[in-house]
Amino acid sequence: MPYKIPVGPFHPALEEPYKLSVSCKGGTIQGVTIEVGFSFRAIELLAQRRNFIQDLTLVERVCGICSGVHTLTFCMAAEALAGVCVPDRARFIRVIVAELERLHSHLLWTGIAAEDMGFQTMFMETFALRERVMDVLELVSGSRVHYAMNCIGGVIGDIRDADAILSAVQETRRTLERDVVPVFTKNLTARARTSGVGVLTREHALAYGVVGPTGRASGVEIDVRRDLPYAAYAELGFQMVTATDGDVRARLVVRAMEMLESARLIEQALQKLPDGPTRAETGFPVIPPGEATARAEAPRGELFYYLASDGSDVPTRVKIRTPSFMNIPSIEAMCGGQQLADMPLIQASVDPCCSCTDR
Amino acid sequence: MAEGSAHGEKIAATCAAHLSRVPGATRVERRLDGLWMVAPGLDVLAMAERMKRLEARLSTVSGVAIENGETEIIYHYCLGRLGINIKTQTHNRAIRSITPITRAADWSEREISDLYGVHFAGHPNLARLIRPPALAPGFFRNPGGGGSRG
Repeated sequence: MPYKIPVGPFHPALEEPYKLSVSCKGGTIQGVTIEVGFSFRAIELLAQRRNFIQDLTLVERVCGICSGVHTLTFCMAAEALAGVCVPDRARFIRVIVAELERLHSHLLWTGIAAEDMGFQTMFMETFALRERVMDVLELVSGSRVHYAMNCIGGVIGDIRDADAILSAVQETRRTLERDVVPVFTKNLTARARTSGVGVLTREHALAYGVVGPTGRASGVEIDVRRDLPYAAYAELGFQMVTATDGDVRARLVVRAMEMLESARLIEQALQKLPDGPTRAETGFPVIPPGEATARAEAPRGELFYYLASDGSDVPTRVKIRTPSFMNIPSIEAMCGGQQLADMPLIQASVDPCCSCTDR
Repeated sequence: MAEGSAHGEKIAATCAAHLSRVPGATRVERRLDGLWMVAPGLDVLAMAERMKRLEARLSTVSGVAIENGETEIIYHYCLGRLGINIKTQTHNRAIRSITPITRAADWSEREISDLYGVHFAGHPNLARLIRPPALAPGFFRNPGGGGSRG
């Protein structure tokens, strides 16, 4: 006789609160209903009552993991509205911070995935490696998260010690190549727990509008860094990582390989870092009336901002569409016929960020 | 936005041609962030069908409160390297749901229903998504901008 198991909103398997009501027959999942909204803070409404500078601080706090890309996308939308041209050095620094963020986000996810597999050792290893990345972010921006690096027209901080950052990133890449990536791509336990589990077909991925590594692992070849290059990605020769199996293993491998690509992008950006100013102007930017959209590739996929202005210093509309908002519903399509014991890993494989989804 | 290439220009032209054939369509303009069409009387189901045939990807749907309790509804698509933004509006606080055609619109429409009090006719499950249960639908309708500061 079928029964329903509530997973969440508070559950050891969940990083953030959302609820999965899993219908099961025996140990086999029949279907899942997803409820979100537990972290709803009306950030868009708050942003429409604060000026553009205050909004930078506010939107950074939509998420704790992908904070920088929120300010980046907000700035790109405001810059499009105001017709501001970002200096070259700032564009490269934006890439460096964005890729450092992707690295620490993917490492966090890898650790959680390892934990969900029961692979405690790799959880410890990836989180230790993540600490190195957080140290680099602290060196660059002064903060481990919520870096406050982006401003409208450029970046606030500067890269003063490129060599120290370069050697730290190179060491991180070596550890990734030597330890993390081989384990997650070749280890028999990891393969047994993830192969054929939670398959998201390409048809479903397209139907749900899935983005980011979740989509790329199902053969949906979209990445804003390639499709709508921003910051300095067009100059850095970015390589997209894709897979076709669409199972948890594919999502794991895509993220593991993306970490290597991020490390490579940071090294390249540091080596090619141009001289010059880090921001187009100082003081409060004038944002004329109008509307603009901006997209960036957050660690979880396409982040989208729509900004509207009436010419005052407070935006009339700040619309934020995060990647998890598109990806979390696809969990429905991954679960049918799967084992209940695999549910934590399947939902984790989407890298769901509820702060982002609920705002 | 990616600089225009011959291929990119062709996609933009094809897309504009398709959109202009949708009942209620108006002029398609080229802005910095892609194509824009502002069409208050647009047949959104026909629009969704055309965009699906073009294999455009729906990024999201935005709601913006306007006067008389109506809401601007903006469909944000992406086709290859082209952003496409189609703005229309509700009439009598309602609009047809495109979710039966484009599943990716599901949660976006539910969110606008929660926050702006819009009824999406034909949506398979227009249940509360992110609105706290204690708040009535439409509590985002207070305007933003210079007049909003308190």
